[in-house]
Amino acid sequence: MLCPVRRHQRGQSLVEFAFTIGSFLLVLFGALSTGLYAVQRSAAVTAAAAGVRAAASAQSSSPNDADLAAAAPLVRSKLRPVLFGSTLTAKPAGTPCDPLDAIPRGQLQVCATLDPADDTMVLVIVRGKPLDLLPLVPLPWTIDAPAEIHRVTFTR
Amino acid sequence: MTSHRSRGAGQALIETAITVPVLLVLLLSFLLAMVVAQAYVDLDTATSLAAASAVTAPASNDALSHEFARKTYDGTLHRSSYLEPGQLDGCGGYIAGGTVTCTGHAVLFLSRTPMAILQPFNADWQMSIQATATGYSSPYRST
Repeated sequence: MLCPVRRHQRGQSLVEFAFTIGSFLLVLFGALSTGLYAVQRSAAVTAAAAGVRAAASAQSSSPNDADLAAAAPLVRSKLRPVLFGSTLTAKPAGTPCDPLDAIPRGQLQVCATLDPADDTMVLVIVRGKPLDLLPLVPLPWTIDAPAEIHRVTFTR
Repeated sequence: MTSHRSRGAGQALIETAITVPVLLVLLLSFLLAMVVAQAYVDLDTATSLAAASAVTAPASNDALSHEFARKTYDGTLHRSSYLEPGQLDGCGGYIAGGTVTCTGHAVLFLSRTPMAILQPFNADWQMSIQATATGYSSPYRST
């Protein structure tokens, strides 16, 4: 049978261990969550850039119009490997994305439009709130990755 | 309380006082590294798009080449809450069949990110970053 002092020490060690392992796991999951978010966000920025370059090209049937519909499939193919359970919705070409507050958690949107302030510029945005992968650390990550480029022009 | 027990409690307090700040510094370092890396990704993307845009301008038209690049660079970065676009060097003088190289500068305002808690009294905590990119013209372009 343990004497009261040794029993007390065992309890203290248990509390210390629980506290240390809890803090360690918090940091570990926080770092993992940060890493996954960084991968997702980088992919979203790269995908938006690839999408806007495709969207800025001319349509095959109408060389004076930007091919806005070309952006979404390209963005989708680049983002698919890093969605981690989130869904990607493509807005119809020319329709702006919803405000960030209106997009539910676990959903990303891609939208391709002409810049409302300057119609010589094509704008593609990947926006949304990726799914919380680690419930222990529900960090409020959001993605808002815009890419804008001048439309391709043709002269003879 | 016996001296043995009070010594044990004191030791636990010191261990905690050492462990918790170390873990916090580790976590904040991860976050800071991520914020800076993301800023570089954003800047690199904006500079690449600017260079790509510059080579779509009519050949030998420095002004238009630079205008396309500048509008692209500003358009991509101006929506960022923590990056402010600065100078855009190069980006002019596209010659048929050639390339255009741009160097973009920006200021990363760490004080506008959650990292501001590291320097709560520095409302202007910032760092300058830059990126270089080259744009290549389309092989289908005749001039």
